[in-house]
Amino acid sequence: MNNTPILSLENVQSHHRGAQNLSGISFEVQKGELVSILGANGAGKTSLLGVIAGQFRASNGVIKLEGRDVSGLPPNIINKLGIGYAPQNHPIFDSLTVKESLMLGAPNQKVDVLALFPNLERKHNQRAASLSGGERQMLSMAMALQNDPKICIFDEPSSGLAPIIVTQVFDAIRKVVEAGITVLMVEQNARAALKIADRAYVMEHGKLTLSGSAAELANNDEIRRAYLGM
Amino acid sequence: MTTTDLIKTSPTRVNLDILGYVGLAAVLIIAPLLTSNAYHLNVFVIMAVNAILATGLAIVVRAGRLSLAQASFGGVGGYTTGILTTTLSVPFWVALPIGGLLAAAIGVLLGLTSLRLRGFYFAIATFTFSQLAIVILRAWTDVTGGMSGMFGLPHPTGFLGFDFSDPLQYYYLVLIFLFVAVLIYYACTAGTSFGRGLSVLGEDEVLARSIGVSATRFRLLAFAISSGIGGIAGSFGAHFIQGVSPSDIQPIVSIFIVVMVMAGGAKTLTGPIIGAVIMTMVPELLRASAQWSMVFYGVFLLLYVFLFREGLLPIVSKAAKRLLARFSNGTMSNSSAVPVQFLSADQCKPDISPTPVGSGTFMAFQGLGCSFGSLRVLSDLNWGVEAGCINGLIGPNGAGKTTFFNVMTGIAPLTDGTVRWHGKDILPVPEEMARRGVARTYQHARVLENHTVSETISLCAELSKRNVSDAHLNWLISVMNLKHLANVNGKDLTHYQRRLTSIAMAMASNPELLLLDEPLAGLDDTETRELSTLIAKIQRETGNTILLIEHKLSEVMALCSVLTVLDHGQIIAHGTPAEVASNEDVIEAYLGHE
Repeated sequence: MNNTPILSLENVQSHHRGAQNLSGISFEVQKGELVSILGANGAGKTSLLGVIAGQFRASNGVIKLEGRDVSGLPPNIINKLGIGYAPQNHPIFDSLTVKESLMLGAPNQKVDVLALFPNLERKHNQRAASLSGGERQMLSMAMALQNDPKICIFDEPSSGLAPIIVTQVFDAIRKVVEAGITVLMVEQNARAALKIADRAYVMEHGKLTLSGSAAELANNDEIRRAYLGM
Repeated sequence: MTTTDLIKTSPTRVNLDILGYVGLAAVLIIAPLLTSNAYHLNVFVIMAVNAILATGLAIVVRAGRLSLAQASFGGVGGYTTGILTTTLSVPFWVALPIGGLLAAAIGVLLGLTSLRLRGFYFAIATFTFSQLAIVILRAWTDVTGGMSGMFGLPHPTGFLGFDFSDPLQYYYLVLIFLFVAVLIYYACTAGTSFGRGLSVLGEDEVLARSIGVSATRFRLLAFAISSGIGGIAGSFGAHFIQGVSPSDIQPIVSIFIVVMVMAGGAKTLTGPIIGAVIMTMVPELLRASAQWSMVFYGVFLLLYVFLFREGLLPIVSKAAKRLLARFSNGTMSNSSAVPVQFLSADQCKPDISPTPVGSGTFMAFQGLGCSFGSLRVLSDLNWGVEAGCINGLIGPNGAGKTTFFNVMTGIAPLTDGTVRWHGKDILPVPEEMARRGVARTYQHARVLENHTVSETISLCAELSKRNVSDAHLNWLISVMNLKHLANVNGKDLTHYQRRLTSIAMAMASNPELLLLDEPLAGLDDTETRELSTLIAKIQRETGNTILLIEHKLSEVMALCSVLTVLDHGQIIAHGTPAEVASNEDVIEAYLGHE
């Protein structure tokens, strides 16, 4: 039982407006891992996360959470079953305060969510509408950690953040993983992502083209040229 | 070379639309000739009156406001001409414009108090007005006839041998006014600069104001025109049935007019007419059994809500266009704004920024502060923008960078301090700042979803009312690599394409100061490199001034000549990139220790 991956995808395909944006994705994430997906814009990374979280429907393939088929289930059920999701456009509820937004679901038993994001802790009584772009993003991540997810999915957690806060957010992600919550994230900032991830996949044109441990990929010449600017 | 550079605009679109208009006009002209039944002709007249009311209402709907008082404005017209022609014996043709103008004037008064309300709230305000109108008409018995209203209104005086007591001739009279109303509606959508501004306003108010559309003035004028047309229609209705009473202006009547506009297609020129035809004619055809007419309404509204929320006309025309597109390579756009006129490659040339080089700081702030209630976002900023180069604004998230942009462009309140523009104190108002030459982009790239890239860019140039040459727009489209996207609608662009378009939109007014809010966020490495090269190129070729908010440090360091660091709403450092990067406070607050 211990060997069942927390998340596994088998030949997942999806279409958007008639064009295929995921063409046969298969991969597994083991419990306690931090896995990152790298790739250029338009490669299909966001579509992939959306399909896993139930926001879009896969046209083919199977998605399993701890061995249980969850493909095609509505997003609220998928969240209940244990997948937390912070989408790219970080939707939050403008009329709620930070604190109220974090009381919408059950509080996380493993980590103190507010302590992970000092910026949010400072503004916990402010309405979400008054948060800046980067703070909205952090709140969206904090909200994904509600209801004790088994695996958390973050779409570009570092985009639009100040360097010092990128460090903070990546520290927070590391703490989430150390608390026993598996994390799957998509990141544009390949260098930082490879620094904290255990494993990574490279995605191109709707396919996973490379995979390996973060250290292996960081030393891969192709990756260095394409994503690390070296 | 020159011919390959030209982008062909699709002729199918225009031809098909004109064909549709001519067809509809022909049907409206010929249809009543096919019947001699007096009752049927009465229905035709009522239908034409409804079509004018609906066309008038569509103008204010286009401006992004839903009025539930269109029938009341009809009532204002009907009662005014009624009172003038009977009690005061004024000729109908003198009374008619008075009725229209009075309706427009009341529209202005109602608009001044309530047009700032959005969505439901404006609808509720107009609903309240319509209730108030009924109360006044009922109570003012001496003049209005109270509950039972006025009757015995004269038919319009005939001229040139026309006799308007004949329903067929009356119908053609109303039809002429309907055609005039459609022409006015066209002028309020795509036919004039005012109309194009209005449709941008209906799509995205924040964006419209930041490209130079005065929201309040445009909307007020639209509401006045809409009410005026309603008043004229009301007069024709009242003098046809020769009576007017409070029941004519009940809210349900206004709601029917709203349904005509929405179900016909609020975003189309003739949709409101189609809606009026369906909503007036079909129930009459089913009149034999009253319950069937209610069933028809029910089914029609359900179909509308579930199948064609954009309106009946758009789905019909979309289907027709798709059919035609099989034979030609026509593209679709539901606006008819004028796209950029493409010139040959050697005629692409940027307009040079009007700011004289070396003019120091043309926009400066003293003690600038911004608070929302008790929340203080910016305090005591003393700063000036450096002319003719790229200024950088960095700082931790929540430091107030975007709010600073918002204060500069008048979106957020200036609660303390002064803003100086070329040495004069000003109070920033979005549309005025756009006309002065401050253009901006937003964190989440805002584009016009329903206009093509080429149309959007020419709209931005036009609505800013600034001096921009065609050569500049051509240069912009080619330098931003948007040529192949010229005929693509905003909603079909990818993330990166939206970014490029939004920057081109801001540059389309040839601004003195370009504000870029995180242009590189969410871009991959290739895109980041490409766009930062483009930003540098734009600055170099136009000589304008750029203020850039960005977190991608290596790009910021390479692009900017001066950097300002904001933290907790205050400036903590200012200087060259090298000075700022070695500043201990900045490392502490922003960069972090490696």
